[in-house]
Formats: sequence, C-alpha cells, structure tokens
Amino acid sequence: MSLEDELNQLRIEHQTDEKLQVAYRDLLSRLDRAETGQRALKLGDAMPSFILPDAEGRLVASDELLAKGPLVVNFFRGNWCPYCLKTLKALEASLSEIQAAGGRLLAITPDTGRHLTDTKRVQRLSYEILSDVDGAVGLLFGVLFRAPAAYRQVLAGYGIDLAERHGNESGFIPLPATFIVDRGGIVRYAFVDIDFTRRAEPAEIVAALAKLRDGSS
Amino acid sequence: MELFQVRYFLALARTLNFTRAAEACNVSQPALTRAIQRLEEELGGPLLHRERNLTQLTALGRAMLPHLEAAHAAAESATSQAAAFRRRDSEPLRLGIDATLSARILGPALRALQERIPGFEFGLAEAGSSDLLERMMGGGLDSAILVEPAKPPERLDRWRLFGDRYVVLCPEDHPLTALDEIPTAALATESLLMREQSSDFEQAAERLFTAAGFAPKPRHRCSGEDQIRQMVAAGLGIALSAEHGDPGAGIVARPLADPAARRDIVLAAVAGRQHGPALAAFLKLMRARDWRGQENL
Repeated sequence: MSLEDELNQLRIEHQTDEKLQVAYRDLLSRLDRAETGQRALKLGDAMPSFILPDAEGRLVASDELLAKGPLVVNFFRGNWCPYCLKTLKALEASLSEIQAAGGRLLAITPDTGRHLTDTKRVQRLSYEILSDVDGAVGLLFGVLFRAPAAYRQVLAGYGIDLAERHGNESGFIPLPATFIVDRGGIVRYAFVDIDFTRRAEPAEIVAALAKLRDGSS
Repeated sequence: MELFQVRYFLALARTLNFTRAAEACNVSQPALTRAIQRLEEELGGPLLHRERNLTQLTALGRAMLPHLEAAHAAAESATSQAAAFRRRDSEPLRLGIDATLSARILGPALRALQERIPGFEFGLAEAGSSDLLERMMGGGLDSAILVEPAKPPERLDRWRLFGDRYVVLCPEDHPLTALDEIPTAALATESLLMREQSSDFEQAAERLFTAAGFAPKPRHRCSGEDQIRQMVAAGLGIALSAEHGDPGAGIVARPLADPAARRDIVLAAVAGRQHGPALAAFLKLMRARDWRGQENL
C-alpha cells in the first residue's frame, strides 16, 4: 500500500466528522486566499543554513549534514496529526531505500519537549527529528503559517494544545512539505501543499534522489 | 507567511507610518501595503488601523508582534549562526541558576553547545531567584533558570521547564525516611536547619507554612546549600530543600505531602534584546528538551 493509499483511508475515515470537515475546508480556503506556500523554496533555490536541537538534545547543523550528502527535509506538524504519523512511519519504512539512493532524512516540527521525544520513541523512528522552536526554519523555507482560530479551536476540542506543544502562543505550524537539497545546498525537489492530507510519496523521493546521484537530474 | 512580510510588519510596528516603513525596507509603499494585506489575510485579521493621520496596531497586531519578532530574529540569526560559531564570534554566555537547584540541570545543553561551538565559553552564577532576576533585567545575565516570579516584569520572557516539589532532607537513618511523603506538622518536633532569613527559599517556605497554619522554628542557621547538606548528614537536624537540588552524601530526600508545596521552574531571558548566537542556541536547546523525567519523585 502506498502512502497515498493510507492517507486516503484516513480521509475517508474523517469524512464523517462534520466539525473536522468544516474546519478543514475553512483552513484550505484561507490558505488559498493568503497564497500561503506559493513563495516556498522551489527548484534551484538555495536552502538557508540552520542549526536546531534534535530529539536527543544535540544541536544539528544543516551545513554539516550537507557536507555528507543530499538531505531530504520533511516538515511535519506534530504527532497529534494522523497524516503526519502515517508519513513519518512510511519514511521510516523507506529509510534504507532513501539511504541507498544517497539521501539523509531530516524531519522538522514545531513540537518541543516530550512531544518531540514521544514521536521518535513511540513511532520508532531512527532518523533525525528537529524542533523548529519559534518557527524560524519554517519561515525561511516559506512554509510557515498561523493556524486560524477556528482550526485551533477544533484541535483544542480533541485535546491538542498547540501552545503547550510549541512553548509559545503563536499558533504557527508548517505546511507539510518535503524538499530534497543537494550537497551544494540547492533545492532539487520540492513538494509543498496547502492540503495537509497530501504528502510526498516516499517512492518519488527515492526516485528523485537516485536521479540526483546518477547525475541525470 | 514570508520573511519579507514579517520584516515589513515589524518596520510598520516600529514606525507606525507606511511611508517611513517602506523607506526603511527599501520598497515602494504599494508593495509594502500589498505584503501587509497578504499577511493580514493569513493571520486572520487587520494588523493595523489608520485613523486619519494616526496608524496604530490592532489588538491582533499587538498579539502577533512578539511572535513575529521572535520568528524574525531567529530566522535572521539562523543563516549567520553557523558562520558566527566558526568565527568564534560569540561573547561568553552569562547564565544564572537558582541556588537551590542543581547546576546539572544545565549540563546537557551546555555540552551540546560545547560540541557545536568552537571556543564556547560560559559563566554560571548562582543566587536567589530575585537576585538573578535583577541581574538579568539590568543586563548582567543573558538567561537564568529561576523559580517563577510572583510578579514577573513585563519585559521578561519565560518558559516553564518543570514543577519542583519541596522536599525534606534527612540523615539516612532518620525515622521520617520511612514515610513516602512528609506531613507539614511532622516538622514541628524536629531540629530544623535553615538558610539565612533573607534567602528567597526560606521566605517562600515561610509563606507556605503560614498558609498551612504552621510556624517553623529554626534551630540552626547555615549559609548555602552545601552547608545545609553537610549539617544534615552530620546529624544536626533536617532541612527543607528543592526536589531538583543537588543530592547529598549520607542524606535522603522525601517530598512534603502538602499539594501546595511546589513551585514552577522557568527558563527566563529579557524580551526584545538581540540574542547572540550562543544564547539563541541555548534557549532553543532548553525549550526543546523533554523535561518529563524531571517531574517525578
């Protein structure tokens, strides 16, 4: 089953939740009107360098990782989002293929503290999970937005407290997005969607990495 | 949200004038206005209103300002951080920690900084939380780990790290060690070792006891955490301390049963000050850390 199949199953499950559907459609139309993500990093752009803490309490520098090979940078909202969880697990399942194709995976989230470590431990993820405290990296990539009040309220109804997770009251979360960046720091693949139920397919990521490695990109 | 939109908004928030903000940002006024409109669309409402000649931030604008400042500052420093670290461009990081807490709380973050920053230096001060607060607001410290202040200054950024229970320190063979939690009343008949009267900790403890209808009588006075622990170990009495204080050889800690006998420990830094790269990294490390293991006794 592809990731898209799994995500589609979730979409079907959630279709019956009217409150969720209203919030979802409202969010998409706002993001569309605000042109969110339309100026996100795209092919040929240079990735800004950044240094963020990881789930193990170390500082991870993008420059240092790039020196070792291409990066797959995956932004996700948090382990409260079932679409994010499916995506994180699918990436873990494809990790050996990603690595064989020469890529190193990085996942970036606004979550902090126990939410960060729980994601890594409970989902048994072996790749780096970084905390984008205050959202600077999301902003630099052009994928950051403020979750509308109506959407935050629906999440709160499900016990999801973004302020507690993020350590701030901004409500800033990223569009789920995946970028592949070559050793020169140039973006060679970009998937950005205002629809959080849509994600980059791991097979596509592997194929893009392979093209990069074989020099035919 | 785009970085340039945020930058334009911050210029507007500073100047409260579209013309001057556009000049400051080196763009045309229509371009600035368009960018602000799109930002408003995204943030969910107007950020400024214009009344005749007066431009002012709306309530939403005021609410979003600190978050946009934080995101902008972090974004601006992100790109230069790696270079700044390599150039050894950082001033020593000046930190403080409440005297009743163990400095080991800072260990992992400082080690991560030492691993990442060539030539990393820090200075660590230990004092009562009110002293640390004063030093921070006066510019003498970059950041501190403190007890949540009763009256936090407006310009103080704070992030809660964990809860800290009051504990009783006893010698290993003391009868109180048989209990899982100590009722406040049990302290009445004990030889109590206390810190100086002026100590923040003792003052807070006194308020706690007053509320519980108990007036502790100090038997002996000591200076500082180390003396307190040495005297407890030597069998001179028991003492109140913090759950996240240093342990001591030959002593055992038991929490107070009173549910009010706890305080919040926060990470603090002065708002609106430009954070150097080491400070920015330190704050991120502390805020990203899973403090959960710290919360249980």
